[in-house]
Amino acid sequence: MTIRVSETTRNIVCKSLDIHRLSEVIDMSYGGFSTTADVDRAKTGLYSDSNRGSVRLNTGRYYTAKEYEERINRIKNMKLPY
Amino acid sequence: MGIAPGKENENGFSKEEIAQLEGLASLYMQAKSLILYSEEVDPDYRSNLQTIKELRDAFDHLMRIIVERFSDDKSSLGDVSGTEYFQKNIQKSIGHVYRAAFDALDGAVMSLREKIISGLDAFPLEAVKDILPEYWDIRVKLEELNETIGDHRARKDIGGNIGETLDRFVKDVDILKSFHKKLLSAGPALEEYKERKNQEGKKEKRSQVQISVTNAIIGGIICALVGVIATVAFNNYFQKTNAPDKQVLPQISSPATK
Repeated sequence: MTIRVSETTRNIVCKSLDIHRLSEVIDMSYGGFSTTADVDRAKTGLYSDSNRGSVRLNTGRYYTAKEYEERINRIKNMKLPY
Repeated sequence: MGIAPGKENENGFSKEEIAQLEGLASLYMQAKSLILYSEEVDPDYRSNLQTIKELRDAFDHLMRIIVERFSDDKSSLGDVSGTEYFQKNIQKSIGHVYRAAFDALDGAVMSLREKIISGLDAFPLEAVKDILPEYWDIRVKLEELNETIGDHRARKDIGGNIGETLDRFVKDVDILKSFHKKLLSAGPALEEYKERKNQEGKKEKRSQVQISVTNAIIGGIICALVGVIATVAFNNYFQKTNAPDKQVLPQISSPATK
């Protein structure tokens, strides 16, 4: 099965990505995420009802970069009984 | 679908490349099991988006290889193609899968550390010493692992001995996992120990109260006795000093005798 997007779609995408041909995306990297460029929990919650992806993610059971960082600091500083 | 290695298929992979793809598949299966374990052991059953991001990037590099081999238009691939392009991307893909595995193990270590601490906090340290004497060895391991959480994130590229590091990490996590299981099953014994100590404490307190009451009674009796003796002695002394035979009364002669 071959999936081909229309010429209009190609043009829109190429223009917004600043490339000449769609095939140029092959060596482009996805954006990372960090504490400064984090996942917006509120925004993902808005689409959770219409998303058909992971139930875990749709129900908000994940750590954002900031939450993960905070978790590392909290657990690293927990004192073991001595 | 079989992909024939060799030159008869221009889109196919060489034997060496197939071995590397098999290696990636095998590594992915191990990483996947660690990711699933990490999610299961998390106190809130949460996923780590960092791990998902690593898998996305690993997939991206794998797809670059496939696109390079099967695309009709190779002009957008830059100046590297063929085996060189394959090697560059397969190594990156392997690196991302390794990082996903390390992220999962970090998550598992943190979850186990949190669970072990909250499990132990409910009981006195003497109970842990008696019932789980191996805790002291586990404690050292937990502190060692605590220092390395997030360390692999700082390394951009994978080293030559990354497999050994991963194996060691898995082994350490397994030790923590076994101890956590043991801690859970030792719950009744620890509760019993705690209850016994509470009873002993109550008994000791009760006997201390009894001793105090007895002491108070004896003290009271002694005080009362001392009081009585003192009163008697005082009275005797007072009576003696005020006795009529000892008093020097003026001699009054009666008028009749005169």
